[in-house]
Amino acid sequence: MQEIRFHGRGGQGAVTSAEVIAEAAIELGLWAQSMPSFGPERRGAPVLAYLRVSKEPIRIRAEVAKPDIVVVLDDSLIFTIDVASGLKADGLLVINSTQSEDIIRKETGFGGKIARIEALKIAMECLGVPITNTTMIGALIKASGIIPLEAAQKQLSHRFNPKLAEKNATALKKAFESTTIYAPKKISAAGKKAAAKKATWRDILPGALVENPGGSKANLTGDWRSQMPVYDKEKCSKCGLCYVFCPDAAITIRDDKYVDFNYDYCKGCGICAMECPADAIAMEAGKKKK
Amino acid sequence: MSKRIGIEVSVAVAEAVKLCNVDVIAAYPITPQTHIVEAIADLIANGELDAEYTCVESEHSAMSACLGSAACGARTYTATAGQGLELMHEVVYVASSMRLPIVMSVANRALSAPLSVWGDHSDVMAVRDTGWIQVFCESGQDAVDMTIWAFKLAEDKRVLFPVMINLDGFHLTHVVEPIVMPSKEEVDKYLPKNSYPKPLDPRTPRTFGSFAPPAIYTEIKKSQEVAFEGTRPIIEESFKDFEKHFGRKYQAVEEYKTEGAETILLMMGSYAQTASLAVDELRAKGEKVGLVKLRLWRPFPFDELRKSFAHAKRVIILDRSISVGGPGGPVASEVRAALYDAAKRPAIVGFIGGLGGRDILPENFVELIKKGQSIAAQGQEKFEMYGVRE
Ligand code: SF4
Ligand code: SF4
Repeated sequence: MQEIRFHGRGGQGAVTSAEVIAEAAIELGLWAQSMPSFGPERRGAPVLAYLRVSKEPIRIRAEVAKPDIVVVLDDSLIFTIDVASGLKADGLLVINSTQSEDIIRKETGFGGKIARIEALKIAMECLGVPITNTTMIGALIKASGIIPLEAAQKQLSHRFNPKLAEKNATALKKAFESTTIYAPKKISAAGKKAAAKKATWRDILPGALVENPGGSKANLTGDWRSQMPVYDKEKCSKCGLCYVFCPDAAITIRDDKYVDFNYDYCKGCGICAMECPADAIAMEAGKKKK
Repeated sequence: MSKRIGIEVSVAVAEAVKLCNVDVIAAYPITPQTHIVEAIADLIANGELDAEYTCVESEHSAMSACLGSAACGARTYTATAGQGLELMHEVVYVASSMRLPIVMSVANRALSAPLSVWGDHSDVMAVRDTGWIQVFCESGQDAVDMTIWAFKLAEDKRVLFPVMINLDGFHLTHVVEPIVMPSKEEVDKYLPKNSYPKPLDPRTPRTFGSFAPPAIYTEIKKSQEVAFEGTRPIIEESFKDFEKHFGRKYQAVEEYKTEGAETILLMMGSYAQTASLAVDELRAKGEKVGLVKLRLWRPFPFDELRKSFAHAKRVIILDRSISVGGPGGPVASEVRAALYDAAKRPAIVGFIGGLGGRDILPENFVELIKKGQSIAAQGQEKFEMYGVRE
């Protein structure tokens, strides 16, 4: 049995990746299981998905704690989360990243085989949107051979309309071809993130009271961004719709009724660009303005 | 000075609420609880009680309003019955999990269908596992005393759990009987001001009732269970404290003529008074029969019951609700669990009776005891419905 854990952000399609491979494997006559890890469903928030593929029936119905493979759809996660937690030393890390091998190894503390792909670039080229899930499937197949490439392509045609399926199939193939593989390398354990101490029942206050007030101030959702809104003031009609729709209150209205973007909190969801009636907001790939 | 008066039990409960100087009442009227909340509304309207009475559109809202009120540190009371308690259901859990010292009277009523406004214990059994401290009353005096006692216990900083006082619909709520009403001075001396340790307050904002992912939910439940278990000695202490102040003694498990008893009848609520007449009758004939009254339903008094049954040969239990398709009645099944580990265990026979307000007369209790004895003699431990027309 191969156990795989996907790390992504809400909206990137980690769950879909796991499902596509599971369905393809099942169609091949194998046993497979995909399972989302449900949390606060929120665009941009870190999410997990689990996948198992086996020649035998699968009876475990739990998270993948000791994965053979970890797939990271967004490399900003490696700076905040221990994505390699439980990953077998002889396992595989598939990562969408523009970072160097050294930085990836340092941040993840992982010395095993790494497959790196610049998935965002391929997704933008082939699909025109920063959804990296099919691209990542291509990289995963290249590095692990978990299912044949054709089997994944076939699934895409089940899932999407013909036009979209073709675009996704192109992204898949392109990713398959442009994945870079790094052989295992000895690394110092220094980069390994210390596991946070988990609260015991004795730490719980009566009524599960939390002493601090709830709030999002400390949660810099700007770190979640993989694309960013670029504002064209010339086109803006000062309607204020973007301000109303922004789910993270990252847009403020100035005294002159034009708008400001707060990039500490803008998570790059693209809703403002979608809602703007004047096409004054464009989404640009990347975390920062070029 | 306390005063003995003839008063309807519901009105007496309302008077007790007044004596406790409650800050907020949020309730929705439902038979047979109606007289309690009507009387409270009158007291407020007359200026006898300075409290906020929130008229809500349902019991669900009633308990929700109580959560907010109790979280602010206000002394909070509500009352309901039957279907009302079921409509309130999900919020009943929240009160305990959030450790809010709300006091609620439940005028016990049967559940639909068929519609019945009359008494039995079906309503409270559905909230058995909600984490409330739950007591049953045998008389109007109990109902008044338990109300006053409940506020002190709930608000005790070592407790901080809501308390539910069960009083049988009609058989208690609508009866006029003599009750000793404590005086304002006595209650003031007994009951300190409520000072909820960390109240909801905009000046010191905190997060109440937050969300818990799988990584922490179990720890939170464990902390609730440990705290709830921890109330056992405090409940015992609180009964003694009440006795010291008012001279009336209450216990988790109360016994009547159990000395040397080989057969023990057990139940909760007001029917125990009628049953005590049957025990008198059988004792007069020289039969070794006694009565055990379960006052405290949650936390369930396992140890006390084991002690009460240590020398009994058979225990006959009357449940006023049925667990359809289950082991019979909830009380009988709990008692079975309590005695499972006992080295010497009496035979246990369960009866379901007094459903939907059906009376059980003293002679019926004599018959029920005889029936129970003969079932036990046959070596059976099954349950039966009592008083049903075949
Ligand atoms: S500013 Fe736009 S892209 Fe950024 S979070 Fe708000 S709606 Fe989303
Ligand atoms: S929605 Fe577009 S036009 Fe309206 S205020 Fe925002 S940027 Fe300007």
